[in-house]
Amino acid sequence: MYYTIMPPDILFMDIDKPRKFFEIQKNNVIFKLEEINEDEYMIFDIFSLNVSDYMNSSIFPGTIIKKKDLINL
Amino acid sequence: MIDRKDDLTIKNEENIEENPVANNINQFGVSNLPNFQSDIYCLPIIGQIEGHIILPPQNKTTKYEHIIPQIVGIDENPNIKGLLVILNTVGGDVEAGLAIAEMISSLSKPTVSIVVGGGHSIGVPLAVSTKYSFIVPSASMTIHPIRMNGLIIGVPQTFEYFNKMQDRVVDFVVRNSGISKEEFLKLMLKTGELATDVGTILIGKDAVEYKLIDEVGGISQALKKLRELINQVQNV
Repeated sequence: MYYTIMPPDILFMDIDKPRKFFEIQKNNVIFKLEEINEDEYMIFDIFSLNVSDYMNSSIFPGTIIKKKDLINL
Repeated sequence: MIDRKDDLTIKNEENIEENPVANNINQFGVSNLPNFQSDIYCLPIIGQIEGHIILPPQNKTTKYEHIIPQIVGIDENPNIKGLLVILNTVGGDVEAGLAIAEMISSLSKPTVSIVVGGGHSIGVPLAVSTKYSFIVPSASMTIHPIRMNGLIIGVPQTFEYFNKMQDRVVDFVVRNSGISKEEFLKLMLKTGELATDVGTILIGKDAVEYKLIDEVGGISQALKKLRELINQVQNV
């Protein structure tokens, strides 16, 4: 149930639009990535058992990473 | 000619990536980022509070599954002495918003919130969840009844369910701020103020007058108050 000033038609606009997600695992962190274009991904979510991973600003959800930098995550 | 332009663009992008100053300008709009370790953790809560449904990409969202472990980390980390919550939210999922608000209110460390821009709907419990709250003079808070989209069954139980969900929000706000239940419900059900809804918009000092927020102030007042609360805890 949503409690927001945003009208539902704007909030749920494009909800059926297909999005490309995939997961990779690095250093005990599972990254859920969304492909935003041919060259870049956005960190959509992270899953970790270590709370300090959630406080690491370099991997906050919303961070955009280039495909070639995936290896340095 | 076109090739040369493309070539320059690629070279510029490579320079930005290699040069940390250029990278800072590119990413954050400043040449030098402040480089110091603060004992205050800053938690921004922005956009829509995302619940169990992933919202479409045009929404800026705050994810509860990412905020809750951070709150655990704040409580656990001995180097963090206090929490500053910066709110600019349009509201969002009731369960997720209340979950974050309850986590913040039960933190063992000093907490201060500041509403900038807006702290609407489920942003209200989030704003009052800290031990002390601020609102900047231009910020607003919208208090309105809970709505529901999708299939609604026209039975008395639906109304009962709405009431119960609304009571969870109202009770949390009343428990964590100075406003009375009657006053808050009066603001929530007020007519004639919002164009397409029932409710009230409180701007800056109005929120303080209704004892929803403790004080009107900006970032310096919020940090000063947080330091004061940290010192109080350390002196006990």
